[in-house]
Amino acid sequence: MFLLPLCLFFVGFGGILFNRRSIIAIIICIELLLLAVNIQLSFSSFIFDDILGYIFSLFVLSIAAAESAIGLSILVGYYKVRGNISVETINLIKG
Amino acid sequence: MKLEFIWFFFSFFIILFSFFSVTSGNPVFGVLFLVLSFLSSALFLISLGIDFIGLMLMVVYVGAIAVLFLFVVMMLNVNEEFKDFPLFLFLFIFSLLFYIYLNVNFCPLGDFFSYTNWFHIDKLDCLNCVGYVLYSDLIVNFIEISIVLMIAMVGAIALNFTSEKGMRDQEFLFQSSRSTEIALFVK
Repeated sequence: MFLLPLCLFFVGFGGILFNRRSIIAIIICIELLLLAVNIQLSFSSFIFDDILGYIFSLFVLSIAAAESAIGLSILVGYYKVRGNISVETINLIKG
Repeated sequence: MKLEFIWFFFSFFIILFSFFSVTSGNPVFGVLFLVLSFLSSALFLISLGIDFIGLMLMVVYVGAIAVLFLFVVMMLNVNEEFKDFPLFLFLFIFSLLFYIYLNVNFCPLGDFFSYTNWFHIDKLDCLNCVGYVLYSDLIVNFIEISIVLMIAMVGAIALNFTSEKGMRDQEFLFQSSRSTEIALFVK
C-alpha cells in the first residue's frame, strides 16, 4: 500500500524522462506526479491519524490546478507562434 | 481481507491507467486515461474512508483540470504521435517496479493496523475536521493559496492577451453619445 504512490511517481517520472514528442504529455506526467503526492499525503495522514495531511493535499490540489492553467496557456501561446508543440524546439522560447 | 482486495483492485487500476496515459500516442486518449486514473484514485481514497479528499479529487481533477486538458488538445489539433518512444525500456523499469510492489508485504503495519477514528468523536466527519482546522489555524495559508489561484487566473489571461492592429475596440464615449439621428436603421 505504501508502494502505490511510489509506483505512480515513477510512472510519471519515466514519462517525463522518456518522451521526446509533445509538451502536453509532459504536463500530463506532472499531473500524475502531483496525484502521487496527493495519494501519499492522504494515505499517510490516514495512517498517522492526523488532519494536516488532508489540508496539505488540498493545497497541493490547488497548486496543481494553477500549474496546469499556466502551463496550458503557455502551450497555447507557443502553438500560436510555432505551429507545433514538439519538445525539440522548446529551447527556442528563451525568455 | 475483503477491503484489502478492494484497495489492491483500485491501486492496480491507478497504476494501469496512468501507464496507459503515459504511453499512449494520441494525446486525446492520454487525457482520457488520465481521467480514468483520477477517478480510480478518488475511489481508492473514498474506500479508505477519506471521503472529502476523494470527492475533491474527483471535482477538481476530473471537473476542472481534465476538461482544461481536453479543451486544449481539441483546440490545438495535434495529430502527431510519439514515434520514438522507448517503450521497451519503459516497460522494463515499470515491470521491475511492479515486481517490487507485488513482493512487498501488502500492509506493512500488519495486525496492529488500527486507528482511533477521531472523526466520530463529537459527530465530526472529514469535512468538519478539515473546515475547523483550515479556517482557524491555517487561515494564512488558505489566503495565500487563494492568491496563488488568482495569480494563475490573471496570468493565464495575460499570457494570451493580444492587441492587434485590426482589432475592433469598444469606445464608450462614442457608444454612449450615439443618438437616433446618427444611428443606422436596418429595415
